Formats: sequence, C-alpha cells, structure tokens
Amino acid sequence: MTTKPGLQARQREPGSPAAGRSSPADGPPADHAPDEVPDGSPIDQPPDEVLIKQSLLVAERFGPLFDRHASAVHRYLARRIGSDADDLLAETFLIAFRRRATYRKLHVDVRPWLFGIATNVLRRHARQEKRRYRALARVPADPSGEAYATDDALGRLEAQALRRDLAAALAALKRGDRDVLLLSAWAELSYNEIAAVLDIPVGTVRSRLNRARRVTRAALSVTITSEERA
Amino acid sequence: MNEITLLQQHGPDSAPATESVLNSARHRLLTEIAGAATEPRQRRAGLHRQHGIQRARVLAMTVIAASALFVVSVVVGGVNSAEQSPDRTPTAVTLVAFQMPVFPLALDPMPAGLKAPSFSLHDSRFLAVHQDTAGESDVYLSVYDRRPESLGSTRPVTVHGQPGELSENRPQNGSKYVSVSWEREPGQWVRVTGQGRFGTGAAVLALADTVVERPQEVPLQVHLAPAGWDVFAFKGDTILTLKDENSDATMSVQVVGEASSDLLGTVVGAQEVGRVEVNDRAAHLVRADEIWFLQVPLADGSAFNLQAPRFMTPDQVVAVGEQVTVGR
Repeated sequence: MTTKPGLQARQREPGSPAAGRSSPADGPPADHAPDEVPDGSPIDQPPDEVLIKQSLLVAERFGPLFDRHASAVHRYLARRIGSDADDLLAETFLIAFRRRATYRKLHVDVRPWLFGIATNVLRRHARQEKRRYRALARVPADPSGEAYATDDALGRLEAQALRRDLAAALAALKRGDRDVLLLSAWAELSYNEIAAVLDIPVGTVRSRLNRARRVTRAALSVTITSEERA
Repeated sequence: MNEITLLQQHGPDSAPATESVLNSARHRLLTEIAGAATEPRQRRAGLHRQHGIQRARVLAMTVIAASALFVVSVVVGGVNSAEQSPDRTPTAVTLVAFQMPVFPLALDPMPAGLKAPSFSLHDSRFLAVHQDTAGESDVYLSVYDRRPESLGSTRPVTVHGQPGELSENRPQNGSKYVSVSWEREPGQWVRVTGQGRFGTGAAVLALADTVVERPQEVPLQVHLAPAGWDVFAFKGDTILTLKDENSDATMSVQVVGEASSDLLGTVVGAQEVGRVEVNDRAAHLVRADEIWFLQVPLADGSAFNLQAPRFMTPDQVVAVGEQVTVGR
C-alpha cells in the first residue's frame, strides 16, 4: 500500500483545528490524535505514533519523523553498506511512508519499525554489504609506518586489527544471523523488537544472536586474547 | 568486553550523514508526500475506463429508498438515479446492488513459496501482488486496458503466440525487475513482473505461460452502493473508495486492525455517536458535520469503517454496512 489510496484528499493544514482527527472524506481515522499540535516547542511535539496516525489524515505530518530518525537510520545503514547508505536512507523513509497505514504501535515503536524497514532494504544489497566487510577485512594496518612510536599508536593498531577481524566475522555470518546481531549491536533493539520487525519468533532471535556472537567471538579470539594480555 | 560492545566501539563505521545527504533524502520524501496529498484528485476518473475486467453494476435489482423527507428518486428509463443539486453534488441517493470488479486472471500453477495474491486497482491497472513467503522474490500480475508504458530496455518476445515485450528495470540502487507484457486479447494488456528468483527473462516468460483466465474476487466486497457510483480506488485488499460519477462525493470502506474506543474524539466534526445493529452485531454510527461514520467490529477483533456523505440517510448507511463483507 503506497499512500492513502482512493480516499478523497480534502485535507486540512496541519495545526488547523481539525488536524489530527479523522474525516471520512479524508481518510482513516487518526485515533487518539491531539486536536492541535503547536509548532516550535519540542515539549509540544506529538509522539512518533501520533504523527503516524496524523499522517494518514494529513500526509505532511509524516515529515517530522524523518528529522527525528534520519541520522540514526543513516548511521545504521552506513555502518552496514558504506556510502550507498545515502540512497538507501531515502528508500527506507519512502517505504515507511507508503506503509504507514500498516504501522501498529502495539507491535513496536516507530524507531525500531524504521530499522526493520532499513534492514529489509539492505537485504537487496546483501552481496554488496558482504563485499564491503571483506574489503574492510583487507585494509592494511597503518600504511604510514609511524604507528609504533607511542602507546596511542599501539592502541590504534589494535583497534584497526579489531575492525578488520570484526569485518571478517560479519562477512562470514549468515545474512539472517547478521541482521539480528547488528540490529542488536548498532540499532540497539531488544529481542522483542527484533522479533517484531523481522517477523520471526523471539526464540529465533535468541538462537540467531547466540550463533552470530559465537561465530564473531571465534573470529576475534586471537585479537581479544592479545587485548586482554595488554 | 563482549562482541556487542566490540561491534559498537570497533566495528565497521562510516562517515555520518552530511546535511547535503539528509536534505536530498528529505526532498525525495517530501516530494512523495506532496504527491500522496494530491494523488486521489489527479487520478480521478481513471477508473471509469475499465478494460477487460469483469465489472457489472446491477442497477435496479435492489433498491432501498432513502428516507421520505429527502429522497426524490428520478426514474429514467427504468434506472434509478440520484437527485442532483445545481453543483452536481447529490442531495439524496438510491441504493442499488453493486458488484465489485473481479480480477480476471490467475497463475496456474502458482509457483511454490508465493502467498495468495493481494489486489489493488487504480487508474487503468488492476494488480495482483504475489509475495514470496521469504520476502525476497515477488511476482506482479497486472491487467491494463491499454498498452502499458515500456520499462527500461526491451526486446521482442512471443507469449501465448502473441507478440510481446520483455523489459528489464532496475530502480536506483534497487532490485532488478524483469517484465513481460503482451496484448492477451483486444483491449486487455497483461504484464508479468518478477523480482528476486523470478527476476530473469526465463522466469517471467515461464510465468507468463501459466497465466490463465480465472476470475478472482477481491476479499473486500461491497454489495450495495448508491446508483451511479463506481469504484474509485481499491488498495491492498483493505481500502475501497466508491465515487459518484457526476460529483466529488465519495464513500469509503476501510478494514482496520481494531475498533476505536473514542469515535467522538477521532472523527472530524463528530456530533454524536449512536449504537446500531449491523447484521446482528453491535456497531457505532457517528453523525459528524459532513459525514456519517459507521464502525462495525468483526469476529476476529478487527473492524471496518464505512464513511459516507451526510446526504445519505442513517438507514442507508447501515444498509450499505450490512452488505460489506471482508474475506480472508
């Protein structure tokens, strides 16, 4: 479902007395939406789920969700796929806007919902993501050759080694396991939220996360051991 | 330090989004939003050009008179029509039996791993979306009343003995979609589009070979509607809008996950909420400034909302509600 299809758009401007309430001529009802949303004060900004409901009536109400979450979603995408995150960010929010009528607060908050959409967008770029991790795993350590002079430099070398090993571990993971691991690590979603946005049982989330952590731990064992020794 | 913390602190990273990147993405979103706000009006009338789709409104089979105070049904050649005000907005309507469009085709056999189709209808396109249970490979079967626009690079093929066109399209940074389209019969164009495991020329040609004529009813049905009204849009099996062919008046039905407990607070201009029975089920009818809003709970905990203009009578709104069926 892409928009508010087929519903006559006799929409009122946001902030007008009727904004946020449903009109049969306008579209689905925006249950429990406030009568009016004053502009300018963060305190008065409605919660995400209210904006979603209002956007069913007044599409423009979806806009603030971008400003609230775009940076975090971009960071998540960029860590997984690099510079192509710039395009996938827009794609994620376009999909979210088109599917806003299917959003249900009872299942998950808007933020994890957006990360779930971003994860599904990434699935179409799984090979590209894997290539990125493999490339990062091959990045040479400190090409300047000056790193051995100080403790800080030694720390940087260890960090670079860690980053390479982590990238190699991510490249080796199954896609579903990687999704769960990175939704947990980078998007900081709970088990229940991951289960909801990936549409899998919580038990599956646990088993995938355990497996992903085990594989990652094994790949890092040498690095971690040396770090602990230091 | 566990793996999660290591990933957070030392995992692959990338530059944060620049203002330029955010502005570009915001612009794309706002463009889409602006389009959504105006789309219904832009595509008005498109659905009146119906193409090989089986659609029939059975006029005058079931006539339910509006309340005597307002109704002036005008009988023209045995067909009941609505009385129109000078600006073409009706002041009363007559209800007649209504038959929803039927999707005329099907895939036989249905490829393994595909869910039952969901249907959408807008402008000249009637679409059946077959989603993959794994969420990666979809098949889109579209029926048009005119030749659809070519997508990307094309090459000629033969489908069911008819000349057709195979095309590939890859939206920016998106998956590849491969389509084959052909004129199945005069005035009926068909396009099969595949993505994922169906996104190859061989796959869509094989799918096209399985297209058979097999009418499929859409799950949301309205069997009673004002005379002279037609389907304006149908989306994703859950939203249906009917529109008066001679005015901007509309009536819509939407299936929602749960009933609202605060209709007075959520329906614009709500004046009062009354309890009514719809097919022996307790329902709520809201009288608002400009519309009627009927909410009918369904057995599975979901509900449907019927939004109708105020020139219909309460009895008519309930009568239409009693003729709404929600499948699946």
